[in-house]
Amino acid sequence: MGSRTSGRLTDYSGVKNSNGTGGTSGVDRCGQSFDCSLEDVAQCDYFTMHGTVPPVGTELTLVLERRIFAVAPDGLKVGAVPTAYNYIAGCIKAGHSYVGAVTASGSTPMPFVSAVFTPK
Amino acid sequence: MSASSATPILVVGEIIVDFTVARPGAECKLRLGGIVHAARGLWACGISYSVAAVCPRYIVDQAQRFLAAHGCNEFVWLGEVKGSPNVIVIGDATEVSDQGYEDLLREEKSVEFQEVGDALNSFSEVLIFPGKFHLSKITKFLSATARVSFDIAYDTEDFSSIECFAGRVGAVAISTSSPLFARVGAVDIDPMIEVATALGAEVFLLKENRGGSRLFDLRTHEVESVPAILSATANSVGVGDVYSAVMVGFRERGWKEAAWRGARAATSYAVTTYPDDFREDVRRELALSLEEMQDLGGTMLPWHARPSFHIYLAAPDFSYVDKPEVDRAVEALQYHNFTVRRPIKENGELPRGSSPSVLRAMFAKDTALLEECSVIFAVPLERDPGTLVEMGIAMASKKTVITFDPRRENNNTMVAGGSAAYSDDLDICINGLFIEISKLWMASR
Repeated sequence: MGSRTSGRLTDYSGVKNSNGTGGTSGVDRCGQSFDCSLEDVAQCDYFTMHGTVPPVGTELTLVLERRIFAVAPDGLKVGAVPTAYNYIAGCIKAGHSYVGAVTASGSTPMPFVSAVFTPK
Repeated sequence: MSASSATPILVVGEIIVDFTVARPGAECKLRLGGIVHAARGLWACGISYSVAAVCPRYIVDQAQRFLAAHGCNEFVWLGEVKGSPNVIVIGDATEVSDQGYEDLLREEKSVEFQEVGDALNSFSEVLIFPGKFHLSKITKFLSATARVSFDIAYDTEDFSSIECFAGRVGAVAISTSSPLFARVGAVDIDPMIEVATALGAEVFLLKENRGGSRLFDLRTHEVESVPAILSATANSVGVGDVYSAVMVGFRERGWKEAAWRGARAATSYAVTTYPDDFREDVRRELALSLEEMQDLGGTMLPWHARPSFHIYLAAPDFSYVDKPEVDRAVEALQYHNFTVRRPIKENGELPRGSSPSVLRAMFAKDTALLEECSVIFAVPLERDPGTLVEMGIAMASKKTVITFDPRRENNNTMVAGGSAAYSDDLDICINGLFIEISKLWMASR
């Protein structure tokens, strides 16, 4: 009777269970792919240099330069990753790296770029 | 990196059993709460700590065992809770609106202090989370030279209860979800600042939920704004406790840096209920310098700035419609101190079959109200034409639209693509609202 999670304290550090209890979920969010719409695209190097946004499929990498930026193969910043993903800064400093690709982009009514990123 | 001091902090307060009820997609969760939240934060940051716990007899052994496994140097059973199991049932763990705490048998609860001798006398840094006990009775257990900080979010009627610590107060922390804040600081924060200053406190921390936090240095009168990092909330219970504890734990780096580190640890605590995941996340966050954290930014929207950004509610808000999702959204917006403008409440509800001229007059009034507002929060329950037209008008006039589509009846390119945030999850929509109004607030400064 009752739920499998309320019979006793289960959230002990170091305990690994397969039923969703224990000390870890087994998922490291640094190792997760994510997609987002980039911010400040119109102010970033790529748009100011080229006057346009990178096309769908353009390869991207992530760098930590004050904020987390998506960078095109030519080294130009395409846009900033939303602050909800600020945890990626810690991941990058811990040695994780990310590659990505533009999944949608356009210049009207204002420049926009959406992208997906995955850990290398 | 961990706090530089090896001297343990003493954390004083109640140990609670937190039970979060199951919801669709989320199982129930049983955890030790109260000061154990603070303890998890200190453990994750590698900060040395001990606890003086007030709790029922039945939980003492389990709490002691749990804390020993999570870095606690010394466990002192300071007081026995009688008449209550100290179990809190939590309805909404994401704090989209009021969390709906149910503190079982709270009116029957009393505390009987134990004989602890001078067990607490050696601690020079103390953090107290007030509970159902008289703070004045704690003073005799502590060294007269100990610096004492308080998180007065709950169980504090007014500041007079901590006056007995005047002159040796480090930090006073409070949350905007606190009943004391609602009574004393919700309209104007100055009275709280004045009282904290009179106590001789070094800093006053106001935790403003999804809008970040502000640290008032009462000695220099500087105000440090620490933004929130908004992502999907797993469980917000105890997040504020982690903030306060980690901030006090890092006090030797200066209160400003300590507040930033407390905030980041709290953010990590909100996204997982697994202690090892939390610690790993915190370990990476601690590798960032203060400057790096500041540069990364986040969402800043002070409590007291929110009412000036009026939010137009686009929804079938009619008296004859069964609309629990709309009511929940309104409750959440008001909980976060936003001004919700409800056209149907303000301009009236027309009977079916009203004449075209009456309909036109109402259309004009509603669109004028929409024009006055900064942001549109839409809750289309079905394929509601009125709501969709209001959203379209707002999008055409470049106003920000946040769409909470609880029944997923409108997952359409124009609806989702035209909304700054679109989801059937109110938590995500409230986050989106904070992010967008934060941008408006920043631009208005």
